[in-house]
Amino acid sequence: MTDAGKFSPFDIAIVGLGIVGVHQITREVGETIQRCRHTFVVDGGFGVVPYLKTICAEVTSLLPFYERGKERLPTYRRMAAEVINAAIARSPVCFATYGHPLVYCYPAILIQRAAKLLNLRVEAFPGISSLDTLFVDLGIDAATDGLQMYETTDLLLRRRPLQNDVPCILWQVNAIAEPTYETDRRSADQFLPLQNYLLEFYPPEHPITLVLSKTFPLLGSTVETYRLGTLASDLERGPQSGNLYIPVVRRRAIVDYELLEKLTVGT
Amino acid sequence: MPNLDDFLLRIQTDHSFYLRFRQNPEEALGSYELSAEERAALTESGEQLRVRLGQLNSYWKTSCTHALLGSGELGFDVTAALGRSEVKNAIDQVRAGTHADSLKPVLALMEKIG
Repeated sequence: MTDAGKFSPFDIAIVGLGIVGVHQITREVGETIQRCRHTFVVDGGFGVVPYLKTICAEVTSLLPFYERGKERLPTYRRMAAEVINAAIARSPVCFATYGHPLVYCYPAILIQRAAKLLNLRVEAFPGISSLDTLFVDLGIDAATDGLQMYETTDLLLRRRPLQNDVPCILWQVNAIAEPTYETDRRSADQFLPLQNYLLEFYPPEHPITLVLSKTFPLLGSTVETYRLGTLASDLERGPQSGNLYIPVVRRRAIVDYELLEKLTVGT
Repeated sequence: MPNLDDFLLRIQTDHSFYLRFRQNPEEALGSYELSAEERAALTESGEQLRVRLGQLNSYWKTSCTHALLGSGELGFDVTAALGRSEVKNAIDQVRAGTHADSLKPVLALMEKIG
């Protein structure tokens, strides 16, 4: 079943499992998990843990560490500690999380920090992220006008300036200003500061699309478009999960005509 | 006879079967023992299936950038961390390996570094 215990260039592998479940586990990630003695998993996708148990001798889900109403930070420290502790005892071990393992994944940050201090070798392997699936769900190419993206709470916290001629993605709108693990629905009041802040950069009629990519092969992705002027109440009624995509108000005008001329010669 | 969970697991792990189901759901479901509601969840309503599949992943991996609020650092400075006596002591405790509960000193180190 596994090749665990053979030579390994790392003590800890940090891997991403993708968004939709087993279908998006890359060959590289599958091979890596197979070579680890113990895999710690953050993934609630149906069938993911049972599948991992077929390729790794020991698999532990870290999801039970989450508790409603409890701050996320101690939970993330505990997850990281479990992985480091196992790596010290019997490497190689794997920390596997849905999506990309180094995007919005504080336990991975802690694992890397502790590993540096304890001289443990870490290697990370990417997974398909919700950014990748968002591009597919919306059919957009980020190369056209560039892309800016922020975590929603961080946007408000630092009052980061937005360029309305560059598409914008706001992550984790459902976790806005919330340090604890919550599954309760959020009210319009909680989304209102976001709506008001965005109105400083975009007109009220500007469209904003909520994208919740499918998390199982047979599901469809949720894509709902709202108007900024009613964003808070629309988010209250919406799926209360997913990310926001804000298209440009207008395309930025070309300034360097000399370069343009070079680019268009012969076309 | 295999049930709904068996079917959903197979969808995840057997890509040919997944494609077969998409092409001809009735034929693919033939060998599974499903209630009328379960069959409808698979062939008609995405919402019912969503409920059946449980908690969305997006609830789990939530950002913790607020943990970095007090830090002006742009990255993790190993040398600076090793220069802090409380971090050094925590590392010594982990390395000593004398604690009955080996997780405890590792957790103490985590609290010092993030």
